[in-house]
Amino acid sequence: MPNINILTVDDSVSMRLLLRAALTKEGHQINEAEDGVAAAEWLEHHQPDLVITDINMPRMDGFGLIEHIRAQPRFRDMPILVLTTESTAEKKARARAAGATGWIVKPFDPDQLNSVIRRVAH
Amino acid sequence: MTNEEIQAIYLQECEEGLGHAEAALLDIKSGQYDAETINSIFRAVHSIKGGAGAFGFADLQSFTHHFETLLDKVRDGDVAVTPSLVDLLMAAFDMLADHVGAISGENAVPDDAAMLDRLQQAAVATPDNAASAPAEAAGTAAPDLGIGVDLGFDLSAMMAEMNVLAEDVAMSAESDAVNNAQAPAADWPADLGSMDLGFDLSAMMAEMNVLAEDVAMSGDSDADSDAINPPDWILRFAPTAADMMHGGDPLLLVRELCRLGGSVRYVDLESLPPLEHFDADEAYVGWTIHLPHNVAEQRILEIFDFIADPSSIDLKRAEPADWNDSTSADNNAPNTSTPDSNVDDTNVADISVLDGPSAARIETPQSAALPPVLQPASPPQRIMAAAVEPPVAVAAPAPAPAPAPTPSPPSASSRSAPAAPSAPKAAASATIRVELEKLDRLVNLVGELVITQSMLSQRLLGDSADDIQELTDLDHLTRELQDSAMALRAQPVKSVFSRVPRIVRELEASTGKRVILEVEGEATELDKTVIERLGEPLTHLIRNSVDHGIEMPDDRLAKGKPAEGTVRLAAEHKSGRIVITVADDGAGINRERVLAIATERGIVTPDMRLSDEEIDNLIFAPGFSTAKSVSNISGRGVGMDVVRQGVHALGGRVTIESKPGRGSVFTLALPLTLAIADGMIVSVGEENFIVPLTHVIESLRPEVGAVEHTGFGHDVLNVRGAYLPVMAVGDQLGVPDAITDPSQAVLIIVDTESAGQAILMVDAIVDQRQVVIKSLETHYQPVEGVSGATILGDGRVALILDVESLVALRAKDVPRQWAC
Repeated sequence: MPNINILTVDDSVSMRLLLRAALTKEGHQINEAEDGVAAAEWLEHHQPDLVITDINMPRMDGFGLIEHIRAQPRFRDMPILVLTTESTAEKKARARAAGATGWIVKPFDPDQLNSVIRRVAH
Repeated sequence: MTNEEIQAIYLQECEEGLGHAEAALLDIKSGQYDAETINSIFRAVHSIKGGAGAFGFADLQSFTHHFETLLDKVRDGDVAVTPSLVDLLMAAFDMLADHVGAISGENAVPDDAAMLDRLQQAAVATPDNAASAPAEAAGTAAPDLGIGVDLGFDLSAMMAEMNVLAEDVAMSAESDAVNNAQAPAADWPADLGSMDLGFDLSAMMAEMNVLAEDVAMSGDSDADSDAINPPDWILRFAPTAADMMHGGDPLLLVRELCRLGGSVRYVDLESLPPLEHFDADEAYVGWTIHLPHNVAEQRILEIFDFIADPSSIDLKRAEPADWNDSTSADNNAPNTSTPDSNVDDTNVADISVLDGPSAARIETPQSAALPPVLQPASPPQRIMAAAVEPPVAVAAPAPAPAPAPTPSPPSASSRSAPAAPSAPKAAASATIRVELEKLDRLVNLVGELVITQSMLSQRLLGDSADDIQELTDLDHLTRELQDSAMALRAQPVKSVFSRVPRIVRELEASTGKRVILEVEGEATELDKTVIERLGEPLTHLIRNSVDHGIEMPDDRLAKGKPAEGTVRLAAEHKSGRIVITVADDGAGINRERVLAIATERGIVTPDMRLSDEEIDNLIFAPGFSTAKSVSNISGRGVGMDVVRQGVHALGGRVTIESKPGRGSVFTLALPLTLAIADGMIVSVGEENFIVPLTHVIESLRPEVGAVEHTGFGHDVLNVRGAYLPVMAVGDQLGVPDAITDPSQAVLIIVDTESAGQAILMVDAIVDQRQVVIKSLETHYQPVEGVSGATILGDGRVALILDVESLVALRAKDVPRQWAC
């Protein structure tokens, strides 16, 4: 698949670094934000091809971020992946309702991660 | 960045997370908390869990999982916050800290079996369905076979409905077949081209070519199917409109299935409306895909996990009837179709495609009998593309691997130019992590700069009192640069203070005392190395305060004090040093007892008359603490002398102020940094030495005969009534040509932790200034009486005196002298 521009949102630096390592290996461009608010601010001036976000974050959590993104028409068709340790049906349903495109459970396997990206990224 | 480096950062994060969680737990314990307080604990544990999994720390992952499960319940209000729950959370927190400690090798992996039970029991207040999530995911779609009903259609009705489209498509397919190349969109009939469908046909065809290649390839992989193996999978996937919301693109899922060896056998177009009735947000197309028998069911289903509605998938093993032809038009009842009714269908497959796109299909080479001419070829694919793609592409208008020129899809607003690769990291991140080594190098270089500046200044000015403005400016700039560089190494003392609450908790549990810990000035910054080495002395002080200072609740009540004792830990900046105080409102130092113990241990002799302050300081004497005071508290048994040694090693001082019945205050005065020190430059013989200013009380020139000989090779000076030992630095360090007549020399009264006040005799005081400390151990070897070296303005090396050890060397003998 072509290299794309990805925004990763996670309050854990090590998790962002792991994501960076896995994604840059595939040739993708990575930008990072440390929580929902930082991501929302960055997105005001950028249009990535894909957003990968954690759920549990300070200030603005993943659900809030996804809703915020989906409320903007220019992001209507941008895939948003949720990356979290949680896997309950309730949380998934909530993420889906908010507008998430895919779900990855931490700890992620880089191959699986890239497989999910192939399934959602245009 | 290597995995190890990321792991090191993860460990840092764990420590930070533990700090946040502990602060929040303490808030909860004190009753001052809200939803966010609990949430912050959850987040901390959650983050630790996330990394634990990523780095393969199974024990930690398992523990955090159970901890998190309970916290989740608490957060949701399913489990009430009771005192016993708070205690459990505290205990779980401590064990979590041990788990993290185990990773960094600080301690052994804790035995958490009992704790896991307690966590689970506490969380069982309501049924826990979180743990069953994986199984749930595995079973999502399989049992739901109702999809066939949704897809049910009448072939003839469909044919009729699709007629209009079929004509268009067949026409253009023919023209396309002639060109045998990607047809430019302009070649399409005007009415089709004029419709705002938001997709690009040629690009879609290219997509379909990829699919077709996958199909052809995957055919090989299941050619070896035989009766022993289970039948191949048949997957029917009919995406719903919801699957195409939020950027979902069913085509990508199909492509991913092809990666697993899947082949598209059939495309359901029955619900495809005439073009003019297209709703861009609706889903019209379904796929029937064969997957090799050896692909695990889980692998297939996980492709759809979350991304597609489970009800849009129907996965099953091929029945014998399906074996020959799963592409029966009779999708309504796939399991009831007889082999007979389908026999011919296989062989006419591609013809039917040409006949009418409503029955479009791609047959794979899996059918060995398939004549070469029926191999998927351009025309049918193109028809497929034309017929199949529109709804998909409308919803996801960004076809990617398009060999043909890809005009901008009219409605494709979702994909503008990619953000600049150099786009800065999210602005919210206000800190940057730098390797300590780099910082040290910077600090070191700045140190060299300070020295060079000082040398330059000396060379230019010499001894003249003239001032050169530029040189003064340079001096200021250099100092400022130095301060800034030092500040880079500064960290809030919080990182070491945060360990204290746990120590207090453990002490409470083991002693039965009740203690309120007050912490102040956590944000005070201190050099990283100082902070790292502060932990042990601070721990001892806290233990001492709780263990020996605070009384048992009953005793306290009897004395009219509140049952709960208070330990106050504070840090503040004070005249270029950091002052840390540990104060308790306990019993104060029992001087009688201290004196008795010190006498018993031979630290002092019974006839010595000591001031209260001197008695208090005896608890720092080596050998004062002995086995008698070893409690069951881990790490104890070493005495307060460890505190003094530790603080001393940091270039700091510790003092006590104690009031019987009212409590004690231990005060640590620490330098801000270990890299520079304020020093007094003194000359001895031909050499220069630095006396750290922290030790210097005053300097004086004695009158002739003021220094008295004691007859044991020791000199003393009567300073305002107190006899202080006089040590000639030249003697001690073997410097030739040093002044030996005290009346010709300068005496410096110094204060030490271990031996109280003493006097150093030097030839002269040269200057007083900040010096950059260079380690002698690193560059040479440890030298007794010398703590380091520095380079002076004239380029000469000067040794920094270790006043403490210089004086201690001599002071050891002093009490014996006095005893004589």
